[in-house]
Amino acid sequence: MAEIGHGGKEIRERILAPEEAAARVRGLPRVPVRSQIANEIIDIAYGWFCPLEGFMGKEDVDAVCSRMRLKDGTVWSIPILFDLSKEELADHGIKKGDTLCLTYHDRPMAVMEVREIYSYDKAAICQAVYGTTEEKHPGCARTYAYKDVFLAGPVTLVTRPVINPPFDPYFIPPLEMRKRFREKGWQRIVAHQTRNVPHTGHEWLMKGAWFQTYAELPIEKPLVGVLVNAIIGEKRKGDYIDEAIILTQDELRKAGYFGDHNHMTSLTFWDMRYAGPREAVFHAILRTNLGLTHHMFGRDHAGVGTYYGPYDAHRLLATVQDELAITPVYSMNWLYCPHCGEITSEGLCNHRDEWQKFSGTVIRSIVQDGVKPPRLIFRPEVFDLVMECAEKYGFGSPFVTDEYLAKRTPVFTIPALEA
Amino acid sequence: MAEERYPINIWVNEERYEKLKAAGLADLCEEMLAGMKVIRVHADEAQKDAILRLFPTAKFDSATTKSIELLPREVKDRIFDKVVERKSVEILGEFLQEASR
Repeated sequence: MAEIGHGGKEIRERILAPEEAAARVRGLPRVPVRSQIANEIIDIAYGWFCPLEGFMGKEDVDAVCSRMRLKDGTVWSIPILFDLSKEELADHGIKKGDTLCLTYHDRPMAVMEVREIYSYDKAAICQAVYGTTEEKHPGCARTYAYKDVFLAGPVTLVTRPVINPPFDPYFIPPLEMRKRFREKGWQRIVAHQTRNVPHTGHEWLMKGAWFQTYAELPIEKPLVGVLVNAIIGEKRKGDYIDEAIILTQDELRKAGYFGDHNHMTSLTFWDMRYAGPREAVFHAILRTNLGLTHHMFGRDHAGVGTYYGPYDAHRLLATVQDELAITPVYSMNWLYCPHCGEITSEGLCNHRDEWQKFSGTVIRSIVQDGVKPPRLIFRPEVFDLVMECAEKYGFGSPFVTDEYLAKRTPVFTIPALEA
Repeated sequence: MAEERYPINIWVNEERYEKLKAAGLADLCEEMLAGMKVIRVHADEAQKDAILRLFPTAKFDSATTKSIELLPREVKDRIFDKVVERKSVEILGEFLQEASR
C-alpha cells in the first residue's frame, strides 16, 4: 500500500541497499557535513520532509520565501539548504552534475547529486521566514551562519544511522510509524511537539488535546492516541538534556498517567528555527508525514522573545488549512487553581485571582534546586527519572552543560560501510 | 512609587524547613504551586542586573513570575545559608559583595 505524505506524494525511503553502498561511494569526492545537515539528510531520506528528495534549489527557495510554497505549489514554509564555502567548493572541485559522498564524523553517510550551485540573499530569507532580519533572532543567526554558496540536489543515505541508547526505541520513521498506528487501531492521532521534561501543565495539554481529538468517535475501544514527538537537535546550555526529555515523556505512559492504548513517544531530528507561525506550518508538515491526523498548537507555537503574537501561528495555519492533511487542535493554557484544588484550563476556571500559572523557568528552577515538587505539579516518577538522568547521562546535571556538550554520547552514529 | 523588587525563589524541602524553624524564620515561607514552600530573597533593579551578570546561567522570568531563576544550586545554597546565618531575608547586598570579591 502506498503511503501518501504531504503534498499528496508517496513517501519513499531513499536508502541504498547495503550490498551496493560501498561501490556507490567509491571514488566520489568526500564532503564532511555538520550535525544540522546530517539531521536533515535523515529527515529527507526517511520521508519526514516528503515531498523533498534533497536540498532545495533557488527556485524552490524563492517560492518558499515569497509564497510559502515549493515551486510546484506545495505548501512549504522553511528553506532546507545545504551550504558550503567557496573554498570548500574549490578544494573539492565541485561543479554542477557531480555526485558527492557526504560524510559525517569521517564516515560515508549519503550521496548527493549536485543539480545546482547558487548563492542567495540571507537577509531576504530572514525577512521572509522570520519576519525580521535581527541577528539576535536564533533563526536569523542560523541563516546568517550559512556559508557562501548553496548546493541543491537529491540525497540518498548510503547506510542507516545507528541510533544510540537510550534513544533507539524512539526513532520511528514515517513508514514504520504509520504501521504502528495501524497496529494500535488508532483512527486519529494528535501530535504533541516538545523539547521539555513534562510537568502536569504539559500532561494536561496532551489530555485536553486527546479529548478534543476524540470528538464524535465511538468510545467502545481506544481510537485516539497522543504522539509525543520530541525535537532532537542542537542543544543550548541550560536546556534539559535530550535523554531526560525523551525518557520522562515516555515515563508518563509507563507510570500510568497515560497507557499503551493512547500514548506513544518518538523523536524527530530537527534544529529548531523558532520561526513561530512558519515553524508551526512546518511542524504540521512533518507530522503529516509521520501519519498524524491532528496537531496541537498552543500560544506562541515555536516562537521566541516577542517576535510573534500568541495566535499568529493559528492565523497562518488557517490560510493553508485546506491544503494540509492534518487538523490543528488549539490548546489553551493549563494552570493550578488552589480554589479548585486541581489543574484546570484558563478557559474553564473563573478563580482568576487565585490562579497559579506554570512557568517552565520556575519549574526548571525547582528541579535545579533538587526539591521534589507536589505530584499535582510534577509527577514523582518524572522527577525521580530526571534526577536519574542527571547522574547517568548529564554528568550530575539535568541541564545541558559544557561537559555534557563535550562528552555526551551522540544520539546517532554512522556505521562503517561493509567492504 | 516604590522601587520594583524581584524575588529569588529558594525552594524549601524538609531539611531547609527545619533550619528555617531553628532560625525563627519558618513564618517567612510562602506557598506556591500547589503548596510548594518557598522563601523569597528580593533584589532591587541593580542587584538583579548584578546577579544576572555574575551568574550567566541565571534567567529573569519576565513573562510569568518576574523572578530570578536558574541560579546554580550551590549559589542558592549559599544564599539560603546567609539567610539562616543573618536570620533575615535582607541579605542580598552582603551576599553580592562577597560573591564579587
